[in-house]
Amino acid sequence: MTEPSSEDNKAQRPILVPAVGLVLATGLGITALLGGLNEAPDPNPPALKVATEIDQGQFKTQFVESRVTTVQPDTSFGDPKRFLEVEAKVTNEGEETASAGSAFQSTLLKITPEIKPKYGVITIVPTQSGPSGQLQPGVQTKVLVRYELEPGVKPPDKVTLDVGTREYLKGDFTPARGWVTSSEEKDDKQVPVVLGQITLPVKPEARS
Amino acid sequence: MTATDQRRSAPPRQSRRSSRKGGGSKVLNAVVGLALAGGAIGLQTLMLTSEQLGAPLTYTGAVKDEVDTGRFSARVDSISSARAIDVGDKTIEAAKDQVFLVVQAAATVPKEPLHLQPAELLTDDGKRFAATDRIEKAKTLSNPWIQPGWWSSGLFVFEVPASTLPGARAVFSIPTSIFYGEPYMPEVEVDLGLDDAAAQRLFTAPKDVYQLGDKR
Repeated sequence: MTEPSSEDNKAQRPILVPAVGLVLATGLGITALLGGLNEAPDPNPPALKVATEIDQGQFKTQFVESRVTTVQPDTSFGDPKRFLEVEAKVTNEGEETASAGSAFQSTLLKITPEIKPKYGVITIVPTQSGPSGQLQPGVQTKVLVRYELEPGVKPPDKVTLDVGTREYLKGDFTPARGWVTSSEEKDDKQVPVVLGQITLPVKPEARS
Repeated sequence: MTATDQRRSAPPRQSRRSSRKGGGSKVLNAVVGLALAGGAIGLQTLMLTSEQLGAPLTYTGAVKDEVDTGRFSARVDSISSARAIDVGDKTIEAAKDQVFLVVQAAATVPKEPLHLQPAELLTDDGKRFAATDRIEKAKTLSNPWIQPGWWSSGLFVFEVPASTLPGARAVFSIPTSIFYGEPYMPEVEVDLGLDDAAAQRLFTAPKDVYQLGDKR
């Protein structure tokens, strides 16, 4: 009675176990090849619209326009400088005064076509008496982000900015806290989160 | 033999007594245990949050009060408002829908000389406005060394919209060490005593031009 049944089992086992194993291994292999079970990154960040409010966490921002502008030097020394200028209206949603030059500028992650000014990107709050760097809480402020153009370089017809976001982080047991530009882990590297991309036509410099 | 008998008979009697006693103490132990556990859990609610741990020690006062923190003392002498500020080589105008709030203040220290940090304006809804960077730091009370023995006076200028003025407080603080962050830094918070009417007056009837550098 027992012998025939054990023979049946013996006949089935060598096929079933390797078959299941093979199916599992193939499935695992295909999943791994397709990038694992992580959510696939969105290849195209959403397009943001000009003059609509973008929620960047710490800031509520409306991009106004982009243009080429020439800035005369403060003194009689030096040459006038030509900038590709991006204008935005920024409202600081935080509780404290924020810096336009570091906090807000850090959310403009990338400009395409790439412009790498020699002396870095300059972000100012224009005022009647000269530039300020402060974004006061709850006050909508005009901000100019300037990318210096090399002499003789033709400015692009349009630029695309990768816009990031800011989040408030605080330690659970330490007093350390503050706003940082959001980032996520990608291929074991911390890369900033791209909220979206905004494309602005570049207005040529007004000839007077 | 008798000894073993006694020993044998003694434990049950003792255990019976202890179990009877234990019946009462078990309830008591449970009550005490629950009370202790409840107390311990309750105490957790009193634990400081990370924000409170990082917060400075705030000493409060009113206008013209000398507020002493131990490390430094500060006093607000007067407040005024202006549409524009004349800094000598140019006139700086306040932005549209905003006004300059000029806080005339003085400070001294008991021992170690130090610099004040740029003051902050703390509004009724908890927002902190840094003193404007449109007025150079060198023209404010952040510039001079605050020395023991006498009061150094100067001013701080805030560029603010009308809504921030009612209930606003001026906050003075000192820098922490460059090499290590000190916990529990002192700060002085002076209630500027602005009710709605006074705030309204400051905003709607500012001085046209405030002469910075004029000594009173």
